[in-house]
Amino acid sequence: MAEISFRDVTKIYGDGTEAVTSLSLDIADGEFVVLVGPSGCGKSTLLRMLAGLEAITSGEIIVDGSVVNQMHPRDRDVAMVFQNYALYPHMTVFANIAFPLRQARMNTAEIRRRVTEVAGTLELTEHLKRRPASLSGGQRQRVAIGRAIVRQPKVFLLDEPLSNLDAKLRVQMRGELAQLHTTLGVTTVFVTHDQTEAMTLGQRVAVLNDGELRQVGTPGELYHRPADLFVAGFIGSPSMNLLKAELRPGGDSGRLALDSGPAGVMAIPEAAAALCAGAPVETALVAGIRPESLLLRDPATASGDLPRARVRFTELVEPETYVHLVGDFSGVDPGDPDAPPRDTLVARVRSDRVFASGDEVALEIGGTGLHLFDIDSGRTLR
Amino acid sequence: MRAADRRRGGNYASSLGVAMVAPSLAVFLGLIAVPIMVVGLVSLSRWTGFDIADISWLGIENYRTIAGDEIFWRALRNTLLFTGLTTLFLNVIGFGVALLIATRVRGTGLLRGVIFLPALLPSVLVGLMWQRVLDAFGFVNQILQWLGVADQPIFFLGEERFVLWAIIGVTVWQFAGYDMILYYAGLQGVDRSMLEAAALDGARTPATVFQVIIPSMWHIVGVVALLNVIGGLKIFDVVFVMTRGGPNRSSEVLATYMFEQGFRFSIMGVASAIAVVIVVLAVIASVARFRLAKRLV
Amino acid sequence: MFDLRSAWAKTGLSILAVAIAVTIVLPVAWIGALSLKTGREVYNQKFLPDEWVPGNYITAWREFGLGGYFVNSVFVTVVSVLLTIVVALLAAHAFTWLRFPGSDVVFTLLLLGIMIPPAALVLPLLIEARHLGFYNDLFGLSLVYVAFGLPISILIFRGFFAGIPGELVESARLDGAREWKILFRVIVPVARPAVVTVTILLFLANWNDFILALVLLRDAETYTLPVGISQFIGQYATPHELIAAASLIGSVPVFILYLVLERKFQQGVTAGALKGRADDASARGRGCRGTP
Repeated sequence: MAEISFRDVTKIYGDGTEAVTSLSLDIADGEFVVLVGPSGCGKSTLLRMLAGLEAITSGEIIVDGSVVNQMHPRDRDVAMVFQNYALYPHMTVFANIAFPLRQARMNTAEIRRRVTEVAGTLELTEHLKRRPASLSGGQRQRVAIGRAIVRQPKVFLLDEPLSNLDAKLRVQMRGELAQLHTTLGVTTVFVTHDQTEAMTLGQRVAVLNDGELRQVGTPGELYHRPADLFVAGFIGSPSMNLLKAELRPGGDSGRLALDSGPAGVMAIPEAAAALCAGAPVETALVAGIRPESLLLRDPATASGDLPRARVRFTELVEPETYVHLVGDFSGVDPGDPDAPPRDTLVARVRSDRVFASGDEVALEIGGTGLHLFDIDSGRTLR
Repeated sequence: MRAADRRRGGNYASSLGVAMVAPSLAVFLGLIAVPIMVVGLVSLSRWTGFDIADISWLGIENYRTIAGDEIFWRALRNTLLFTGLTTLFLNVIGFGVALLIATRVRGTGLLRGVIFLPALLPSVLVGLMWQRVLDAFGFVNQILQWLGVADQPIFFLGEERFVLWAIIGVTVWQFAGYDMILYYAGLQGVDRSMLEAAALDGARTPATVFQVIIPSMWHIVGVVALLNVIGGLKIFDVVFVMTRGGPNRSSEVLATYMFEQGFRFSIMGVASAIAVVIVVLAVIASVARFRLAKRLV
Repeated sequence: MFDLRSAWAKTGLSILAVAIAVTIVLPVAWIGALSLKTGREVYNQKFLPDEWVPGNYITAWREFGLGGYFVNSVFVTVVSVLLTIVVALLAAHAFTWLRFPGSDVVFTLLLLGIMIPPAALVLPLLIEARHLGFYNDLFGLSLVYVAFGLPISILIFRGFFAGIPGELVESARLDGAREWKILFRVIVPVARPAVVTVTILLFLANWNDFILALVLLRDAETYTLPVGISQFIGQYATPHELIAAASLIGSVPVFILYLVLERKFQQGVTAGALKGRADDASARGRGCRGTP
């Protein structure tokens, strides 16, 4: 059990690449924190510095009040599960789980007791005599977790542990990991590039990009109050729609004009008014609209002011339909290198509404899913 | 560079890494690097090899001596002749036998096991056995007489015109299996689909061998040939055991001549100069080999 | 590899294969027959002895004192192979997972040793051995073998280690294992094929070495088999049948090991020649078993 602090941590590799830039983050005792970001954002480097597998260029990492920068990994009392599991191929499951205890020179009876207990928790009891090569992906994963938790470490690190599993198993392991954390209560840091994984697992989620911490908060905070364009675009599936726009006065709470000529002005719903209160009027900015807040109206009866769009294709994800739309507006790239280009809008509607390719719709904003960002800095306007 | 950094681990690693490399480095420096320097220095000195106090600086005089020494040139010529011919025969036979074994017809399993074995035996013992096999009452003379080719015993190791050929023959006998195994490994690496494509294109077996397999194995041929060259340049055991360079220096090679100058006549400077020649030749061949091997993937 | 349809071609190739095999074997078989003849029969024209004398082997063993040479050879080979492997493993581990500034330079320097033929360094090694006191000393000779075996061993180990996922090492570090324990408990079991390869290569080189042992050993009590047996060449008093028997006795260990480990020998020699590359490829498959 431990508190962890990163203080202005920077990592510069030998070839000059800056993997982590002056990053500060505090993790409370017993907390489950997820580090998430696109590949190459520095999240794994951060985790490996915490484990002691990589040197820290500058700054401090503090575990339980003491600076661990110079400490050998074996002295940090940190356990880690690797993406490829890193099981010892020549050892049985039992020997794999027992390995850290043997290194600590624990007596044989105690080792046997602890390994048996952990194997029970992870449903590995019947596989204890097998070798990793004969196990399925999910079983290997459990062995790796078993080896990590068996010595009751202060800190539990997981580096993309689920990415080698198939989709169904991944969801199952996600649930089991969450439950395990509840049972053990160990401070846990989990690294992933998958925002869904991050949002379902993390008590708090830290979003990284380009070696910088963009925002840290509960999943709800990240979703409903993203700090910047990057977080807004990264969190949520399907992603938030990002468009060039400007605010205009009028209506009850102001109006939003898309960058698309005279027709293309939407009323800002009352519920979202507070989010837009601090934004300058008649200045180019970026509007972010969550797919569920993009309402599709019949163009024949809708107001002529509303922007029009055409259905490109639909994806049925029961009980909803994702409607992909093209129209006369300009999308914005939030700076996520892994993301596809944003040339369409997505609306999330109930699946009993049927759309065909080529249908025309009028767009309206509903609910609270509207966010405005500075077009240059990308910061949220409040 | 990033991967290298990761492998480096944390900042605790350096001194332990140095400690783990230290024994290797110490042995290498003490028993290879220092001897190389010593041999270089001695080759520039006059010394009998007994008392270190007797050593005196001579400059390049020893090299001048061997340059004017007819026996040295003969040893060099024999070494190069031996190296060139064994390399040629070994590669042709080794590659041919590898192809034969790759057909997997009956009998090739036996051949594969048998032909490789001599390469593993101590060269001294191979030389000893062949000394008997080639002598006047030996197996080869028995066969020749039985066939009626010769009515008098031929002294293969006693006549100047035969002796180098005899040594070449023994070496080819011993190491053909070595080349075979390397070529066989190389053949395993030839892309199967390429052979299938050739078969579909209607190529007959000889055409497949010469137009598809050999061209795709050029780098391996180069590496194997250079290995034979390196082995040939340092030939010593078989010559030393079978003929000691005789008769009349007709089988003298660089290593046996160096050995004689150094250990029989105690002319350390000249012996060292010959050793330097061997090192230089070996290094040239090795560099060529590594250049080629780098392109082997 | 080839699709031979014609039965004639197959038969022809089979005959060729057997013929080559017989050519290889016959000289040794003749030596075998010679070793079983009586002294009188040695010069006759028959292949097989009229009177079989298996006792020649016992005579040769006793008269040449092969027992002592044998023990020396075993000692030198075992000590040098073990030492080389341990020292090379340590270095390869550091070169792979504990790099330090300049480690690449040291690695390259060590590899240069592969190019140096031992025969060319016998003079300075003798000088060094006399002055440092390891002349006529089996352990000293072993150390010289270690020096000449290290470069290729390090190269092969390093090539194999490069195919082992680094997470295995990092995981063991986090699990609290010391570096030497990581090497011997985690890496070596995974790298077993490479260890076998190197063992075979070193065994052959050191068991068969002649020139280093010839120069660095003075007394008959310290001779290894090749040097010991070679002492009887040119002594016309030495009966041919006994030299034949002694040569075969000296070949037996290699022969037996080869029968047991044929494929491994072939792999080992291939890897040594093509400098670790042959094993590099399989390292990725075998080394990472169970950790995709």
